[in-house]
Amino acid sequence: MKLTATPSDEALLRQMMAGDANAFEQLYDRRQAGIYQYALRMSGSHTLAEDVVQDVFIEFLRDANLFDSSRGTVVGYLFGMARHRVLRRLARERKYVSLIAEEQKEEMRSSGVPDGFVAETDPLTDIERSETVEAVRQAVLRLPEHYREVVVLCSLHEMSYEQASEIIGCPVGTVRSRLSRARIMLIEKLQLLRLTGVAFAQSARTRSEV
Amino acid sequence: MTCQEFEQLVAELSTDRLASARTRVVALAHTASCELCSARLIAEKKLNIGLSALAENSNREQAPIRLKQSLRAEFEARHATKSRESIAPGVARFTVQHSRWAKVRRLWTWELFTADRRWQAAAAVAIVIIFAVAVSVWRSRETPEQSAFLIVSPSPEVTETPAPSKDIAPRLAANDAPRVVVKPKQAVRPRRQSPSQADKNDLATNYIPLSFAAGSTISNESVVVRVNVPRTTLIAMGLPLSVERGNEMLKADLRVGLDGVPLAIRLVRQ
Ligand SMILES: [Zn+2]
Repeated sequence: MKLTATPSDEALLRQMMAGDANAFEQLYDRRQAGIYQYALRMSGSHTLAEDVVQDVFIEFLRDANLFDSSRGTVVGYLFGMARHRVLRRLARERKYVSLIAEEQKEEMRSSGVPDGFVAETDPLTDIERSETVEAVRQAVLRLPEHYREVVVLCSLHEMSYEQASEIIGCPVGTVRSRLSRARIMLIEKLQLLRLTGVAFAQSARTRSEV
Repeated sequence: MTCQEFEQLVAELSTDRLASARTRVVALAHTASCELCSARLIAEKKLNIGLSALAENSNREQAPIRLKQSLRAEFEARHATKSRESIAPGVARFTVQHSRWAKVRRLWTWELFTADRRWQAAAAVAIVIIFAVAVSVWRSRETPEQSAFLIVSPSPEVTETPAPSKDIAPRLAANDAPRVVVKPKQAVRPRRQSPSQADKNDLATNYIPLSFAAGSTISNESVVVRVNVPRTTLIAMGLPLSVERGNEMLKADLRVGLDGVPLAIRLVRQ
């Protein structure tokens, strides 16, 4: 049996620049879902996600020659373009988004978001799972953007700190500290920290010392 | 290990991103003796479960298939333009215009566009049309005998088309571009000649469909705008003209659909 090696993104890019439409299609197939999901997770909007995928690949078609392999990977380049567009759109629609978020916050308060939603070992029923997913989605969407993006890239897309730092354009240490802070915020929003009497007292003592 | 040190690494501990196995052992040992850090580790693990559920919930999301088809068409159009550019290096300016038209078409034809983008595109198209009309009216003041603005309909009726000009005759005679019935509209301002007289004096080629209008819906009505176009632009549009005197301005009638997409062009010699 003859094994065919899967061409790298960079190889497909070279073929694409030589006019190979199939190479472009292959690269698109490989990367569009990730970019779509990234934009969706950052914004909560399918329309925005679609627009971002379209704009990213249109620009990629136009400016593929600007890609410099010594400065990063094709996937990092594509995500970088997507990030730029997502943040620009979110800034433009911030007022609208914040109104939605307020509505959602109100809905969550009235519908009762699952409190400390899952026990570590309990299997999730479908209802619990959908409640959990919705609660986490809303909590992630309400994070400030620079915290949200590290959660989306590192926790949802399972990227390494290095990959995330390439996309965001900041040091690895910044990614690490933002992620840590973002997780604390999520734990607080989702009320996941259950303290016993002893731990609560310990927590109060630690806070007063800081 | 202190609680503060634990705090620094609890996220990585819960997600198995800790580089050192020894640090992991020490951190876990700390949780055995510290209820606060133990509760924090449990909270981090719960968060991981929630985040995994969210990731799993959306990891089948992807862009709609029509986007791929449109992007492939865009790729092919761009590559075709690039090839043409490499044959005639002087036409880079047209390439930009071409891609802008392609983008305008995309704006109009793709359902996925948001309403405000459609309005932006509509405004841009309206500005272009108003500008073209203004230029035509202005030029008609300069040379009143010119037929500036006509409504044409792409009906199947056939009219006599005046003989093409010499340098483009061979190619255009073979061209299958649809002939159109020209219905002169009321003159914009008093003229020395009626539009029909002006038409009689004009030598025009057949209309040549523009490649980037392919696939666009030809509406029942379109607008003809008389324009002056650099020879290089016409070459880029596929007209077999000599590249000499590339900056020379030639007269042409541009047929523009009501959606703002230029559909066809013909050369006019007065
Ligand atoms: Zn501790």
